Amino acid sequence: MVRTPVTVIGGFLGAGKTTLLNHLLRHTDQRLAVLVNDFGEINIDAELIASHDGNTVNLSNGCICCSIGDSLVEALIGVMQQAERPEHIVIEASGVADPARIAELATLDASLELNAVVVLTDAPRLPDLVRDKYVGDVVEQQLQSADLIIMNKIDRLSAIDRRDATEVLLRLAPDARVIEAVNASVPGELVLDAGRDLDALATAPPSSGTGSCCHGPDCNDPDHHHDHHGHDHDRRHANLFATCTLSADKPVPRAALARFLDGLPKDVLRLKGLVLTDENPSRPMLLQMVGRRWTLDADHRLDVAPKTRLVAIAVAAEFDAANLQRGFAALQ
Amino acid sequence: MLDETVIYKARKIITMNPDRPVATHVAVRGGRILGVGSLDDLRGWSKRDVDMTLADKVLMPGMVEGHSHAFEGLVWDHTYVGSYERRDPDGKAWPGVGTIEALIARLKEAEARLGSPDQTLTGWGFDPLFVERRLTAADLDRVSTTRPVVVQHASGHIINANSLVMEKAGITPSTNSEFILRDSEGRLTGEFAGQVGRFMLAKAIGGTGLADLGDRPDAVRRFAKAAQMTGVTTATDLHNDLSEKTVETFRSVTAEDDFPIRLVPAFRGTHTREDAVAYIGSLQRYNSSKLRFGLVKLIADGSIQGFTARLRWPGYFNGSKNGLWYIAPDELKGLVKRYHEAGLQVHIHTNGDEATEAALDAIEHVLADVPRRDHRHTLQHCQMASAAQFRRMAALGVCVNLFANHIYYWGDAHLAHTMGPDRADRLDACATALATGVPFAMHSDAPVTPIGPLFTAWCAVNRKTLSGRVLGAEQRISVMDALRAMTLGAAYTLKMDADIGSIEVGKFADFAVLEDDPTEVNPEALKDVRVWGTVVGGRIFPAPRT
Repeated sequence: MVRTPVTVIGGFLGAGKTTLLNHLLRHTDQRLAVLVNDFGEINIDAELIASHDGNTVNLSNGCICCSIGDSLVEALIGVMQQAERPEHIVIEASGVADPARIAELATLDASLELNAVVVLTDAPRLPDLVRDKYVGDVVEQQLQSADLIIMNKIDRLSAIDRRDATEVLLRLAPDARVIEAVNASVPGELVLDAGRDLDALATAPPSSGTGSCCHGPDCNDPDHHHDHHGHDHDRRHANLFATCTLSADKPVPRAALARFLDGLPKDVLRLKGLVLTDENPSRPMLLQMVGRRWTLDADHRLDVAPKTRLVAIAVAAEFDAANLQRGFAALQ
Repeated sequence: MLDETVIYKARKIITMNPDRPVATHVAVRGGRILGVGSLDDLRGWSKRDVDMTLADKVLMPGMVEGHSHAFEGLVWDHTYVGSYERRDPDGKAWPGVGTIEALIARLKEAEARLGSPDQTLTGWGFDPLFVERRLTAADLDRVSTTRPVVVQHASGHIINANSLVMEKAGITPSTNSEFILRDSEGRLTGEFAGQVGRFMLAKAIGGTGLADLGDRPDAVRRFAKAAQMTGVTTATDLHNDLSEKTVETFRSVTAEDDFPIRLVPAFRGTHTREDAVAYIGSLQRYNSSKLRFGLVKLIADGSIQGFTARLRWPGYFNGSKNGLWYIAPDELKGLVKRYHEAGLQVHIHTNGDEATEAALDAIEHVLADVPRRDHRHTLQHCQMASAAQFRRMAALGVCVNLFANHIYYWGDAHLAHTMGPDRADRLDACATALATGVPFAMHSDAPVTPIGPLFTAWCAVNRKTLSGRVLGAEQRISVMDALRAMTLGAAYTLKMDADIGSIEVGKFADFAVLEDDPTEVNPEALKDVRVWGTVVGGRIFPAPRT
């Protein structure tokens, strides 16, 4: 069965959830179903709206946006029963909800799979929020539930405040992967499952050696599809993030792979691709990792060659790609 | 007929009017009270024969249920399987279910009455603490393997389902969730918590199985009957989207001559419609003597026994982590402001003392910006408030409606698990409300607990829990104070005290008609005072006899 990935977007009021959802809706080539708390706040360009029917807006790019209303459960089931099933379901958690609780729903249905819990935080307010007598514990819980934290509004931080906010995150969510962002603008492929990319990935000729790396827009390696979705390539993103491919000639022992994934450095934000394991050396499994959450799927229906090929996306600043590649190669 | 003057004789009339606390006769004209006193006092209004229908009864002002839900009228679509006796709106008593066998037998009986073979059978009000072991899917399979069988727990948080429901929902032993309960060997028991339960039901039977009130005028009538037979003449439906369909149903039902209560719905203040204030204004044009729009309800936190209420330090006695904000404190300020500025009255559900604090902060903040006298914003439940918080309420002009029934139904649990000794003593602190001068009412939150103002008053007077212990003896109040809270006190929190709440000239002729005198019986027997019926706007409504 092909499972529909579910991503939960959490974060306290004012963290930028709606901005992120708007961003994802505009810059996707997947048919997303986005469940939101309040239509009024979703600012969909009028020309993008194909039709509006009660609690659902159909967009011309194939996405739908549904109001959760009183029952997330019913809204979610409504989306699952759409004639044309979405390729990815994105749920906006309410500002006071623990997104991990909402993510539970994705584990209940065999046709759903949790992609990630992504939590935004309003970085300038973070130190005050976690001390707030009423909501400090709520904000803390949200951060602890995150697979990936988007530290938003960093343009409004002084150097000192930035250090404070970072310290708060390190203290409350020491294991979380963190991306810094302005206007909640992060590459969609970091957050969502870029499914179509995978086919290209699997058929692309392997690069030489154990992998190859690039660190920005000047990279001319044809394997690196900086602009693969056709949307604007944001130079700032390219400078912030580095990509790197990992490959292996022989099947990888599954247990060693799990240890490798759990022990990845925190600057590795995303892994996707196919991996041959010792469990089935003739058919690769689909590996998805968003933030600290990873899944290995043997039941995917992709028609792929039996080889291992992964793409990693990491924070560029101190990323040691060669080290990562060596570590992966050593698994064989 | 209602324009004629009728003088009723009663055994005793308890008026709640301090100028004339008791009387023997009341004169009624046009649905309103013309005078109260002796026959001599009233003869100036009419020389006609005295109406003796109520001559051997005790009259009180019609009781006011300040926090109930018309949803009470829908739960009786389904089968009651709770642990204590409960009367349905036809007056039929359903004994409590004390064993799994008794529960199965009750459901089997109901199953035999169901029509179509795939219709879902739903039991409600189940309390696992009062049966000998956990209820399982195998138990419910004995009721039926061919139709969905669901049992809703009284907590509102957990459901039990039979195997067919699990199968339809695609739940398998490998489904992994902490909200799917398992036995000691890891097998599915058929119990599901929270949204997991709702998700499962939505998949298996297409929803919660509960109807929309707007489609069910009969359920609204049933709610009114359930209230009426306990002496209630005005009841709230304290959280409703008030869709146009529901509004239409409320209008048509309350326009019926034999609809036995005045209905006071509260609009769900977090409704996402942008024109909420204007919408409430438009509804107020439909206000009649039996239907009154204008209240707004906001829910700040969850429930104490569900560990979802927001508590201040030191938190839950058993160490559970703090509960949930349903509305963040800052958002609450904005919402209170929106409705306050429009001149509307806001009722805020705050169970835990931290939620109470946030609500008081919100009201204080809004009042500093937009001072308004006599706003009567009311804290609902407000079960854990400290004396200092009551003093803040008094200073801010805030009213409170306390959940006295909780003392009986959950007092033992609060003592053992949620609040612990000491704080549990101040659960629903009626005496503190009196001492600090905070106008207060008390309520049932039906269908959470059964509607019954005399029982609610009994809870506040005796503070006995289910196990028989007295919880917080110092918070006990007198019978008269309790009865006042259930009449004039509640009327005040609804800003209806000019029209209801006492037997006083000019007010609606709304009476609770009792067989016994609640001020004469032993206070421990207050809950057993027999209700003969009610009078609403001068019209007599006998309660159904069983």
